[in-house]
Amino acid sequence: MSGALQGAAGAGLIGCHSCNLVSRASANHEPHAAAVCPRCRAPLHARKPDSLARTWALVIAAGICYLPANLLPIMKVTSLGNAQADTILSGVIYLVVHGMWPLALVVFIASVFVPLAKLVILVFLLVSVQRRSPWRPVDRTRLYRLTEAVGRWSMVDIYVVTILVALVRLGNLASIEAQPGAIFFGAVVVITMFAAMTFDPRLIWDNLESTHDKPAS
Amino acid sequence: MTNPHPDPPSPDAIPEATVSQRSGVSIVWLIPVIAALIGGWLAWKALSEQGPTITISFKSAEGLEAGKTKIKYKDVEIGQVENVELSEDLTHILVTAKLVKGADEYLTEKTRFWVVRASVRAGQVTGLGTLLSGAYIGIDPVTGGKHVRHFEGLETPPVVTTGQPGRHFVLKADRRGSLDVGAPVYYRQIQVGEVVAYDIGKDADSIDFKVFVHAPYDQKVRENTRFWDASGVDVSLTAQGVNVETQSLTSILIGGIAFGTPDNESAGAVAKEDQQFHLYKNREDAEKRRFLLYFDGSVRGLSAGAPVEFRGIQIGEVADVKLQLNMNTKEFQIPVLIDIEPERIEPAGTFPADWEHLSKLERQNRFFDQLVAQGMRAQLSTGNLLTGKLFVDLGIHDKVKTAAIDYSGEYPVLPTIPTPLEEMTSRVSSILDKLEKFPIDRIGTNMDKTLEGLQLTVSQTQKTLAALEKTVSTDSPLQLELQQTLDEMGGAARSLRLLADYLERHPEAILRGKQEQ
Repeated sequence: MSGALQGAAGAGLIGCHSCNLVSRASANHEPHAAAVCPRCRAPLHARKPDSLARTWALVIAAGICYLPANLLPIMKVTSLGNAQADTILSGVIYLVVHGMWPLALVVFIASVFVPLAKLVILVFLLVSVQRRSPWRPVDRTRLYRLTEAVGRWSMVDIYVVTILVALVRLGNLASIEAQPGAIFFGAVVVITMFAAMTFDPRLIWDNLESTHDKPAS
Repeated sequence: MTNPHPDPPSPDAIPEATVSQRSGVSIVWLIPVIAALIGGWLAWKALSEQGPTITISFKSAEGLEAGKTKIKYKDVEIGQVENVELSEDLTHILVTAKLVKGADEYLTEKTRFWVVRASVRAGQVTGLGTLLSGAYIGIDPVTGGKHVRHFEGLETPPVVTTGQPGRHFVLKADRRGSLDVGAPVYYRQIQVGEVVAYDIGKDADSIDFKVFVHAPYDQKVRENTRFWDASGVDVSLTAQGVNVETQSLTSILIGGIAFGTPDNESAGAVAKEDQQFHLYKNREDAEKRRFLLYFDGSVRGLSAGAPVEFRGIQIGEVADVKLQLNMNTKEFQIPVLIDIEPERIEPAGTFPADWEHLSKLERQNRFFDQLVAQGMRAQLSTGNLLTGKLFVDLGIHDKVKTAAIDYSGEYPVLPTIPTPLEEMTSRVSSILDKLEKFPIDRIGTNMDKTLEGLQLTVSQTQKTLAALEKTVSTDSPLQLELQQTLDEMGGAARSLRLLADYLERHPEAILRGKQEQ
């Protein structure tokens, strides 16, 4: 390792998240043991605690929820006594069949592609960090930032369903009900957002830094 | 000079973080565990609720949409159409549908499927809801029987589904009339059933109507029940006025069937499922009594529809005339079926006391028995001398052999006597025979002689008359003498008058004699 590129952790320093007091890491060189800020008594940690484990857990949970989110109907439209339940994909197919390509593309990207991409990216990041891959840390960091930024847009679907359910209440003429799929879809979006939050991008760089500093596991 | 931001302290000056040991599995793993549990439960639920998949073939897929059309039983959704495709030979369509779990039990070979669409028929509008929601597939589930997965869909919804309590009956009619599937069946003008189907009978000479009578009215259908076609309006013009009879407005429009049952137990046992009945043309027909007559002689001029009269009043008509060869006696016989309307004979006075408990039918039987005992016989009579049309005359005859109605056959047999024409023919021929024997020749000769004698007498009379004429002519002496005599008598009369005048004026002259004045 080159001494010129050394992070705070490498220097044995930890910044408190609560009061920003910089303190020295405890002498036993175990940055992941629960250190406490000497000023505000907030827990101290050089990296987000259990970052990889938590992210893994959340990614797996999101992955599990992704299946029912796409297989179960998210919305049931009842118009004139004719009830029809649609999953996300059947909605996309409906739009494509009716020639509304741009709308279909928006729905597909926001509701199917983005959550899946987020999951794949997070898995990729987790695996690469665990394997201490030195591969393109800058690009990987960018991927992470992108994942974090784009996550909330998947909620558009949930908003649409929520608004429609609230607006279209015309009794027998037409009514729209949310279906279990919406819950799972919302869960996927929220859980992936949390997963992105728990992932610590500094870990990408830690691998480049030293061999004596163990990455979080 | 005070620096508000002090220089970074040397590492030594920075206080050391306190260390507390922590171990164990991170609680965050609960999240994927919970997600897995929920996902697993959903998957298990989806799999365990997986129902059977069936295929139904229909002639047309009108109104059926894959993924949308539902299968409903009593308006409860029990399945959904997943696919609609053409059969390989393009003759029909195949609907693939997924049913809910537990439907296996009802998927037997007797189970029927049909498409429910909005329809206007049999006086009722059904399936209006499907105008908006689209057609759905109806099911008539039947448990028990072989389980199958492929069904032939019905083209029209069944009128009666299997679950409905009631009974089916078969009515045989000569013609279909205006009766259609779904036409109502009335009992005392209340709709109690429907026509379920109709078809040409096995022997192709009648129409078989299958009707369904709902419980509890099916108990009213007894073995003696009579069904009649109650379609349209029955208008009859009688001396009492116009009599209009109909069951309901619906039956005017789409036809209907009514039935009537004798009131008490003599109606017979409750009819069995699929029992056959005759469907009469109208109520009058249904109430007619059918009798059988056997005639030995010719029935030339007698045809179906000929009247049956009792003392000149029509009480029925001839239903059928046939020719039979009795294989036992090698003799021809002519059975004539007649329909009698017993209602035409109004009862007056009171019934015998022991008739009170009898049914209408039995009373009629007693009535006819009595008439036959009194000498009522059927007889063929000529109704029209020009056309030679015959009618059946029921009349009370004296001097006939005693007979009784024979109830042993399908129809009661009324005793008959030969036609009056036959009797007349035999009498006339006997008269002619006697005429033939009459001695007209001899009578002629005798007559000649008599006439000669007569002529002689006439000439003698003429002579006598001539002599007489001479005697009394004006120049005859008799005439002269007579004249003189009359003159004398005139003179005598004058002197007598003079005497009378004198005596009137001088009555004393009788005593004293004529006195000189």
